Amino acid sequence: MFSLDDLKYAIRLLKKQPVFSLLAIGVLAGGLAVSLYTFSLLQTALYKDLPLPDGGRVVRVLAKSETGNGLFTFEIQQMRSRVTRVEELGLYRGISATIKEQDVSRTINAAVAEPSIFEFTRTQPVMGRGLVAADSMDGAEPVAVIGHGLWQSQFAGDPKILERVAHVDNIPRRIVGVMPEGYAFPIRAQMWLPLSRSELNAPAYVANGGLPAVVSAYGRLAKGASAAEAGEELSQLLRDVRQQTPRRDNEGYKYDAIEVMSFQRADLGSGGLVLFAVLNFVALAILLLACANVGNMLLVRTNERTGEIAVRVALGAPRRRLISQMTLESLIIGVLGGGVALLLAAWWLRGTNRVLHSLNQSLPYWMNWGLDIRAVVASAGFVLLAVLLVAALPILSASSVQSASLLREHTRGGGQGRASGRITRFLVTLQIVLISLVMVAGGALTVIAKRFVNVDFGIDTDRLLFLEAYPPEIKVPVEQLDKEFRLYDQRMLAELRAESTIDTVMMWTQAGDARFAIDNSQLADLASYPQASAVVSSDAPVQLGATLLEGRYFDHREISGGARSVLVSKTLAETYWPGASAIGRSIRLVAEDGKLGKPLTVVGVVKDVLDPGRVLQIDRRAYTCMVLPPNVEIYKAPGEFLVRHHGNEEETRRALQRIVERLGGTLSRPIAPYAEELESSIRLASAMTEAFQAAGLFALLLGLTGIYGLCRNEVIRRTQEIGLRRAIGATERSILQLLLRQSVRRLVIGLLMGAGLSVVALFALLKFAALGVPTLLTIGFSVVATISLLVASASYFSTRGVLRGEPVEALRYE
Amino acid sequence: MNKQTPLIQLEGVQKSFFTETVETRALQGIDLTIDKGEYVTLSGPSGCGKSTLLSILGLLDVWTAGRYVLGGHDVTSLGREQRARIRNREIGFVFQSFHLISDLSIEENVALPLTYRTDIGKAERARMVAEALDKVEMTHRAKHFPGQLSGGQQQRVAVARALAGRPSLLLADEPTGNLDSKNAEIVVDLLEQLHRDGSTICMVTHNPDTAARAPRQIALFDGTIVSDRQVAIHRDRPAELLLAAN
Repeated sequence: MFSLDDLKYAIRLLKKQPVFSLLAIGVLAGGLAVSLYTFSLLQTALYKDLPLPDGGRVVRVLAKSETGNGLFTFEIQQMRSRVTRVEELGLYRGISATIKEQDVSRTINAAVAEPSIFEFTRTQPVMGRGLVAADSMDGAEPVAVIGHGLWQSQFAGDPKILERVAHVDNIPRRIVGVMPEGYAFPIRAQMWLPLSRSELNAPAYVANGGLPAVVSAYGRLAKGASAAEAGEELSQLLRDVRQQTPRRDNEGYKYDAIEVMSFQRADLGSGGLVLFAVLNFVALAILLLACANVGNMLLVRTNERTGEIAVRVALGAPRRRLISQMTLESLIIGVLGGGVALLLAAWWLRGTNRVLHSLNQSLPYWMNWGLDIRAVVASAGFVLLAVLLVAALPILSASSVQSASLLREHTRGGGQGRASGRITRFLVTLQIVLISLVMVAGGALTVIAKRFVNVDFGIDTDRLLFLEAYPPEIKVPVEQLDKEFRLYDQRMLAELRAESTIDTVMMWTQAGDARFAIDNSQLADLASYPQASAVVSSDAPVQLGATLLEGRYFDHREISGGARSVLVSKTLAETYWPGASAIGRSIRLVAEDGKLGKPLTVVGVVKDVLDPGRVLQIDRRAYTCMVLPPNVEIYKAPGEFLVRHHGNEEETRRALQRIVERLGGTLSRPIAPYAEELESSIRLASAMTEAFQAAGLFALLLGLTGIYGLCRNEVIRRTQEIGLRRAIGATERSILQLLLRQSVRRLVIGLLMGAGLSVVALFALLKFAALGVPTLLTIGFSVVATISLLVASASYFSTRGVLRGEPVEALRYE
Repeated sequence: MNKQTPLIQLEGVQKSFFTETVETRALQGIDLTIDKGEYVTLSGPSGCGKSTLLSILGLLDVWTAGRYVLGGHDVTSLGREQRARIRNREIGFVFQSFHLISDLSIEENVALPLTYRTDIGKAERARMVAEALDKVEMTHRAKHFPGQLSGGQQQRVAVARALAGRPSLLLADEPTGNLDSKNAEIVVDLLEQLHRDGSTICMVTHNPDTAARAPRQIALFDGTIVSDRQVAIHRDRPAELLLAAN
């Protein structure tokens, strides 16, 4: 289709106008780079196979529950021999373990897993051995396999590592193997410990280590089976198991179905999915903007070459040949732009990798961004799409008129014809549609990003440490667990309060959502009752948790006197008792069967407190919360404390660790400043949002310059027409009005279409983060005002420019 | 304007174009009078200033020096808005390259000058457009677009547009320049018919045959009028020289 002569001619044309060529390549490269970057980000985070042999079939098996995804060990053990759609089902528990070397402790992520875990991943240790069945036997020597990173950082890459013993949660474990660099299956493990046979074979629902016996599971989808089918099969098996052994209701954790999905999808969650979808949507809009801009540039050039095209047509050039000539120029720009885009995207991905891994040490191991073969293939696809879009405009312009009329229009000064005008007007409208979409999505993301950065969790985090520890194994009937947990909490509180470096301490446990009834109101069904996020808190000698605005905090009346009280957030109080004091009013918790609990008297109103888990949905609902004392029925699990210290942070941490050890407990995660705990919940999302804000700014610049250029091009294209209108008596004002009126018509059409697409984008974003009506109106108004101003000023100033001279100058304009 | 008042009076009109270092004099002190009802051709070699003179006559361009009285009114110091108003009501233009607006239909193109007038209602405008199209025998193509017409037809539409507002002066700049001889003949016949109907016509032409058909023939060279001749025109025999000036 393409001849060498055509190629030479296209290269000559591009070389003849180097500024034009560089600008076109640069703009297209920018659009392609943003698309490629977003695609790679999504690809790695969600769709890419796990970096394991046959990683495409590796899945995670999860309980379908709002409060967790662990599976009861007893149940999954009953099911695993019967499941056919998931193969090689394996079980593990992700824990936070403390590893101590010469009095220095460090908390690491560990997987307590079945010995088959390394066979499952087809990965052999680089040193020593993996876990074997004998390691899981009761009474076996405690062993550990460590990751390459831990070997390097904790043991300085000691070549005699297999002769060493690591103290993990105070248990000396012989290191028997080192896994290869980058290996951290299932998610972010640095160490692998054997899951004991006794834990795996625990009788039904018996608690272990003070907690219900819950495990996580992984497996490989059977060939030909889908994740949904596997989930259905496991859910059915779950129902069968429960028919044989009914589940007890007092474990404080419920699920009635099982789902199967990739590790990536399970880790990302639905909020992340929506975010990625919106970002890719916006990235595609940016690519279209870039294509429209470059297409417009080529269109202008094609129009300049109308005479040449007419001559070629007159000389008998077949239409196919003309199209190939037009396409070649776009192809060269596309290929060069694609090459630059690949380099840019690779650079951005590398930077993202560096920034995100430095921000969040516990990123899943598969999140290593970079260009791979799929990205290169995708970039070829993007380039092809861009070339088609970019070449379509000049081809349409040149092909939509017949050769005779092409010659006629060119020689008769009748402007550049209806076809060219229609394309330019279409481009202006398209640009307005795309830029409205990008601006609305960008505006919404900016608001969200600002919230991430400035989010107020409602707690003074100065010198505040967060401590979460499992209690020691408690061998009591399940019915007595709550009482034992409360005793453990009290012992912890007493020990912590006796520590000299600690100013004050309180229990502060996020307890999920709770439905409640105001005063004595009764509603038809459970779903009708309002919901609030609940925190279970102890008393606090000095205010430590939420700042008290009115009333009092819990004291001995609740802790030892049995008083049933509640603290409500300012938002909750204002919502349900507007204009009146909430103190003395009552709330009742609503059980899952719809029954109302005993009344809780509101004794205080606290500043709005945000559950870090709700950081992506910062709305009125997120700030509707209540603080409850441990004596209420919502209390589920022990062990989360806020500690304000006055000494050295490191010393305090060590002291806290000693207390946990003394009481026989286990840290479930590293002791960390609470500020860090809160920040970690927003870091990843805010870093990504900020990165996309930068891309959004580029898109904005692209769109705004594009719209300005197109509007200006449209006016300049009509210079002779303007001259004619003046010649036959149109005043300057009437011409300005005419052109502005026509611009406004396109503006309105573009904005309406843009609004439609923006609603779709906002609908998706609103699921991810709530934005109030005033915010949406502000964004909408700003977008409409900016684009209107731009279109109007581009039309006005371009028209003024044409009107500046005498009519005869416009008439003679070429 | 009474009957004796000339339609156009130019006194010492000059036009210069300035580049960074050079001043080019396109017109060098033109004195010219054209009466109502005259049919005048302007001819001369390329660059002699004939189109510039026509642009000034049509108030499409400004002049550097001199005085211009149109219909008894001095238009030398008029502003842009006032000149636009005069162009709209008093002058009709026919251009070499037609300058029809490709997005407008034929009748919309013809109606264009009338749309800038507030004293003409829609019905009146439609009637005037129909009349103008009828005069150029293009009524049957009223709903078409310029791209669908031949060159000769497009120029006839351009003439209709120039006539639609019933101007007192019709200016034509090389109206046959882009046409074949047959279509050129049709357009010149049309202009002659309009002249016979009482229109004042001033036409720039390169073509000696076309120029020879006008009762008054002005020749320019280097920005000055070098000849201004009145001839008696008989449809069945060559032009007869009546008067020679300059």
